Amino acid sequence: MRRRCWTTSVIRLVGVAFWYPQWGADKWGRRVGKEFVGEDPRQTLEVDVLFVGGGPANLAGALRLTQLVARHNEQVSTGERPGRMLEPRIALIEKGRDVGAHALSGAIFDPVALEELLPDYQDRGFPFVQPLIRHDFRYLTTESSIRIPDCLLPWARRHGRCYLGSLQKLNLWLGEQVEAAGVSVFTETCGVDILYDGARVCGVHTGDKGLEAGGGKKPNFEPGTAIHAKLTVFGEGPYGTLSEDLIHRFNLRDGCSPQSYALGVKELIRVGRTGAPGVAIHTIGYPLGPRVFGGGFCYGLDDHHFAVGMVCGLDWDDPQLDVQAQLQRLKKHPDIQRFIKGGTVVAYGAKTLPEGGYFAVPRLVVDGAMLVGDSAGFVNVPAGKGIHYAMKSGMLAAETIYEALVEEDTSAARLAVYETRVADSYIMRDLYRGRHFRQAFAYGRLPGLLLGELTAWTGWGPRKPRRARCDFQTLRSLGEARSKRWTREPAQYDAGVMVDKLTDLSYSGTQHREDQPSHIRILDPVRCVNHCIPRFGDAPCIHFCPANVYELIGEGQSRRIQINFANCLHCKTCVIKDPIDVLATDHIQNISWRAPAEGGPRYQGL
Amino acid sequence: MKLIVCVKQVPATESMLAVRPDGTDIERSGLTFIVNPYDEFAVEEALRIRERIGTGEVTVVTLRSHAAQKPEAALRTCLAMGADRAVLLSDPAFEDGDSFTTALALAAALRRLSFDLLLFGKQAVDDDEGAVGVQVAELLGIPHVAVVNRLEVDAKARNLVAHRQIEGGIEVVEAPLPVLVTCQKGLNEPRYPSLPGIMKAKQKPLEVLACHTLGLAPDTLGAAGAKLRVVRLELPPPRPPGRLIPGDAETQAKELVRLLHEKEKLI
Amino acid sequence: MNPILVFCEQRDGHLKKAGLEALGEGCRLAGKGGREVIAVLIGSSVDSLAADLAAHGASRILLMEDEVLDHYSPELYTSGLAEAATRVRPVAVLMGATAMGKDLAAKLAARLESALLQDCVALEIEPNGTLVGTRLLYGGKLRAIVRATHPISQVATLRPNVFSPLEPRAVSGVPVERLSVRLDRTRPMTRVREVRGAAEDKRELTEAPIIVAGGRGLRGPEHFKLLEELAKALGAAVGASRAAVDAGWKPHASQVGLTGKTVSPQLYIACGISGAIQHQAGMSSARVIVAINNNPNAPIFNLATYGIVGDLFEVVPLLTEEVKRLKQEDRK
Repeated sequence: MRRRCWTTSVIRLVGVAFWYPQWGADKWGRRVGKEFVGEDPRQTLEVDVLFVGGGPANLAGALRLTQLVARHNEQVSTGERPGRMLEPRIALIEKGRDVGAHALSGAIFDPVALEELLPDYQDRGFPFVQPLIRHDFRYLTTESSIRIPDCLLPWARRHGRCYLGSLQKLNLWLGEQVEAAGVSVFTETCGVDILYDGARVCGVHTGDKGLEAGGGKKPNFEPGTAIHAKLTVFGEGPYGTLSEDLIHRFNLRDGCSPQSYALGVKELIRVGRTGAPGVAIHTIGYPLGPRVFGGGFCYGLDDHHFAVGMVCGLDWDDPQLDVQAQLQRLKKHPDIQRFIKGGTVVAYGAKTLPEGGYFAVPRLVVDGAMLVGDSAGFVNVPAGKGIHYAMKSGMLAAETIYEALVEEDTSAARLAVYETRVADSYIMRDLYRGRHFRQAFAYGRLPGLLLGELTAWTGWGPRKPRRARCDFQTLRSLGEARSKRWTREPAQYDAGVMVDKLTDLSYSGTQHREDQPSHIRILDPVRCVNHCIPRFGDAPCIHFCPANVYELIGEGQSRRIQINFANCLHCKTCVIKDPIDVLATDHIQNISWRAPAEGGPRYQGL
Repeated sequence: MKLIVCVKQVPATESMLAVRPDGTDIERSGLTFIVNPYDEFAVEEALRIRERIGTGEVTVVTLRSHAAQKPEAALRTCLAMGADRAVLLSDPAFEDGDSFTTALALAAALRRLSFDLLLFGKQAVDDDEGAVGVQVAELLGIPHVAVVNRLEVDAKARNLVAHRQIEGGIEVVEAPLPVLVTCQKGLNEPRYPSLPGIMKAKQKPLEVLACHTLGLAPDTLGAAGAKLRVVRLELPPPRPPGRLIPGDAETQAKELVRLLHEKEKLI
Repeated sequence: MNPILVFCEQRDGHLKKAGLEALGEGCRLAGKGGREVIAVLIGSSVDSLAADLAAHGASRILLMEDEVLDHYSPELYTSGLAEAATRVRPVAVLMGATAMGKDLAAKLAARLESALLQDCVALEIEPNGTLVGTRLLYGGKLRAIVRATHPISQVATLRPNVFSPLEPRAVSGVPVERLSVRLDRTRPMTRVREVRGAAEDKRELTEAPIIVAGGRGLRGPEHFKLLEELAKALGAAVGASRAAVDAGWKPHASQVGLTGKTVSPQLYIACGISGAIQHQAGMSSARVIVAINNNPNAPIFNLATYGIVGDLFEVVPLLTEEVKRLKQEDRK
């Protein structure tokens, strides 16, 4: 006990000392946000509605809002509706170089939300041109596979009228629609702080660009901008930096399960011959053991491209599990090989997805702000879908924002209608049915599958959550890890389609200036060597990171973890999975990840 | 002081490229386009000169061609950085040209816009030719300094001193205005567009010039006037597989030197 | 048959290797069609170099000497070369793709309104004289086969270290003509005030036949000394990866890669460079690539002709010793 107190105080000191230049953060690296001051000395931008993050949720939301405003104004001008015309200034910020640069998904896309948003989407150059023709769900063994017939699949795994394609392209396209509708879209702009006016959110502060590694200003230093907004919508994707700050500050997760996540890595593979457009294969089994929740996928996107990926629930126990290596092993399987043989990898990316489901959805509104999409955890795990839920949540948020603008009331009480709308929509209906699916897998693959499918199919099950652990609590030491014997076999690389992590990484196009301040910090580097490595037998971070950000260098006493932040794919696996908690009560991990003001992956076709 | 910067929109440098089935061009759909990085140095330098002198106007010019999908976006980026005016040369006759026809069109446009200093990037990172800037200078009959990584402009004396990178050294060159300079990395650090800058850039008009307004004959331009045609594009041949040299450090060093000496005859 | 004109660059009274390579390639192309190869030499008091050009295959030499031609001037050199071109009506004008060559070629092509084949890595000539060249685009990611539309005074620059000069042989009686060009000095033009040697790396990267390059694996600027010693032993230039330049360990002038220099040396030794795609773009055309890295999965090994998986701090000094020993033996 005494020892614990001693280390805690040291960490506190180290944490504070290491956080420079990120002043304004609490000692754990979590930003406390900034108080709103009327006249900011730096540049300010006044808007009415600010969408933080350019993903499907916010893009659909922004577009929906412009539609509602246009309809409102038309009705006011014809006298159908009393009141005044609305001219909201709407802005959307996205940290990627363009809208979609940080977007990654399988993707099987259900157009139900898009049909509602843009009934004429087919005439507007909608980029998902490949309908899903055939879907196989397969259980893989080392050398062969068994097809699981559709009749045994729960409702959710049946993909109705869906499309196969790239989320990056969808976002890029949606971004164009949004910009054409009059929304100011700012790319390469990253929110780093929430602005508060008392307890009300009143915008975000964007990051300073042109900083040196030590925090000094380069000649092209460009200070961040305070974007003041009456309403801020956070749709930053899973584990959004600002969203988590918000959830933490307002205890929005009180009474819910902790969010659990999965890590998905994906490659785009080009083949010379005509591939199998419209075919989607989902796999379970090989290469993962029964103790890891997850599986692979292989989609024929068009004549020459396949999307191949691997998704693993982050509650695995093996400190050496490497999802990118598992993907390579999956690609070696004859069932996948027959599609991709002779091809070349042309793109690579990684992303986490929230899998907590129904019980992990936090409260969605505070004064002046709302949560949408993956930041709120709207992913239907048994169906393996999230894009249309994200879009729907954005649209429901937009309807609420519109009413709030008309009534000029952006209080949490007014915005709470959004929570009701979400609860009444198919988002929560579907999430509720699949609420036990993911949790059931804690019992292992086979019981989990049976139980999970059963509950998802029937919707039966308790209303209360099973007590879930956080993903960072599940690692065991090398000797104890139960999944290791399935996943430890090394992946084989060759010059063609089987690629190692660094080569894969070069296909992600990720770039961060090497001389910018690192956006990743280890709060207490001493604990990595003295605590983490002895406990687990290896440094888990060098394995779970799909981008080789973490490297163990040196020998003996001088061993340390080096952070190659320039490799980062912004997937946030490290903050979620880092097993060392410096403050157990508050889920503060030893690794701190803040969205950088510059840089990031540049996905193409993912 | 009137400064004009000519920019080109190019596929982002990290793009994965695929050759179109007909072999004469790359697959351009799905690519991200950016302002040619060397042109950004040129824009930044122009802005700095304007700021240092205190007065002046920075105009950015670009040409729509098969290579640039949305040249408007490139111009907006430059406006957001702080350029005052933007001119877009857009005409079907400009399509599929080479460096010479591009230079011809640009020179015709530049003759109509008066200038004291013309800035280009040292080369576009797609064609890697480094010719258009130099050729524009020739067609306009003004001197040029290419591949410059340091520039001092004396507005009063109407001349400049430029440091030009050459093999193994630096050539310090002086030239009278008006002059054309092509910019090399190291000249400056391009600024980031500010959000208010981006907002303002969206409202600025783009001037569009077509072939006939420039008084150019369409048959001298584009594919019709090109002196050079691309027969086909291909991926470079793969390197033969290499070999790892086994053993401890000493054996490895010895073996490598032996191979380089006896087999490759390099040392 | 129209001849082939080759501009042979000299600086400070020394012929550039790239010019001799262009001359060698000119002879090869001329041999196919039975054309004459005329070398052009421009500078001040450079007539002593004419014999060298003759030995390297020129069948005629045009010499243009003037004090103002001491330093490169785009205006005057172009005028001189254009004058030579009007006189001999060449089918093609070749030169090395050096800083001077690329600049001069572009200006000359605009003046002659002819095709420009910049920075070719391969060149062929059709029977009617049309040049077909191979160029690298997109930082080396693609190759383009380009063809001129008219076989008249096409201008081509040849990437250094790709083509080989002819073995010098003793010849006599090669005519040297002095070309007198009216140099219009009243026109506005650039003037070279001085030429400074680069502060570091005496050997220019793009010209060097051997390059030793270091990356993040060196862990600090002080360890570049190791590479410099090896480079000294080999007579090589020292390059760096983007990571090393961005970290401030080396000046930008020594950066190899997409945003730095594109090099094609005979030998490229990459030490502690993982071989990110940005770096590969700048060096993948080297003839022999040696990679020394402690990470066997580094992408550079896919590219390397010879790979050493090991600690560079151990391997590089041994390598230096070995090279020195070899050179000493050679001297004996």
